[in-house]
Amino acid sequence: MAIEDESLDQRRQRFEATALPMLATLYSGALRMTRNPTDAEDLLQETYLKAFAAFHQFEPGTNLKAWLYRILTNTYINDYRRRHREPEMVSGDEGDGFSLFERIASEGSEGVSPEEVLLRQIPEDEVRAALDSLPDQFRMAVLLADVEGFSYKEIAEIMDTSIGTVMSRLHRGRRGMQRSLWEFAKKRGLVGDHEEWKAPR
Amino acid sequence: MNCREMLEVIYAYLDGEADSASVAEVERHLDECAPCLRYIGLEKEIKALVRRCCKQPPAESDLDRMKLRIRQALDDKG
Repeated sequence: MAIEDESLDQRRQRFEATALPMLATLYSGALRMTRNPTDAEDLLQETYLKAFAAFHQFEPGTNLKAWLYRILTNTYINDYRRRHREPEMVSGDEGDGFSLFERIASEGSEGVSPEEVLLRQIPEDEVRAALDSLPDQFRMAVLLADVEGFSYKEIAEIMDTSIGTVMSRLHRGRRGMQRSLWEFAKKRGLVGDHEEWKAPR
Repeated sequence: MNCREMLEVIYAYLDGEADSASVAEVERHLDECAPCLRYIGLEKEIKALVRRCCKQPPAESDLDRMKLRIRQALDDKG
C-alpha cells in the first residue's frame, strides 16, 4: 500500500513499530543535549510528536535513526533552547591552541606516556562533563560522530550544514574535550601543575 | 606525507572518512613515525572512551514510562 493511502491508525501502527523502538538510542542523545533527564524526556516527547506529524514524509528504507535525530536536533536548537532562554552558545575558540600531538612528539616513543596513564584514571562522569562543557554545535558534532557513529554526510544532513563545517566542529570539539580532561587531571594532581598543553603550530 | 600533513587528515582517517589514497599515505607515514603512531593510538582511545562513557541508555522502567507518555501524547493530539 502506498503511504498516501494509509489511514491514520495504520500510520500510527507503523510509527509505533519502527520509530518508538529507537527511543532508547535517542534518549542518550537528548540527555547529552539538555544535560538533565527531566528536560531530555520533555525534548523527546516533543520530538516524537513532530516526528509523527511528519511521518508520511519519511521514506521507508532510508535511515530512520538519522531522520529522527534530525528532528531531535532541530527541536533542541529551535524550540527547546529558545524557550529555556539559554544563551546561544557561540562557537568560541576554546580547544584551539591545544595539542596532544605536541606532547607525544616531545616525549619520544619510550614507555607509557602520561596521557595514556591519565586516560585510564579519568572517571566516566568526568568524560561526560567534558562533553557537556562544549558549546552546542561542537557538542552535537562529537555526540553524533563519536557516540552515535553517524558519517560526516549524515551529520551534515542532521545539522543542516556542509561536510567541511562538520569536520571543523568535530576537530574543535575534540580538542576542547581533551583540554577539559587535561584540566581535570591537573586539578586531581594526575599531572604536574607546570605541565601545559603546547600550541600545535 | 609529513607529521603536519598527517595532522590535517587524522580525524578523517580515524572516522573512516578518508579516501584510499589518503589512507595509504597516512599508513606509510605511521610505519616510519613512532610519535605519530602513538598519537593516533591515543586519539583512537579517546574516541572509544567518549563512546563508552557518553552512551547512556535509560533504565528499562524509565523507557517504558516514556513510551507510555509518548503514546498518550499522540492520543491527545489525534
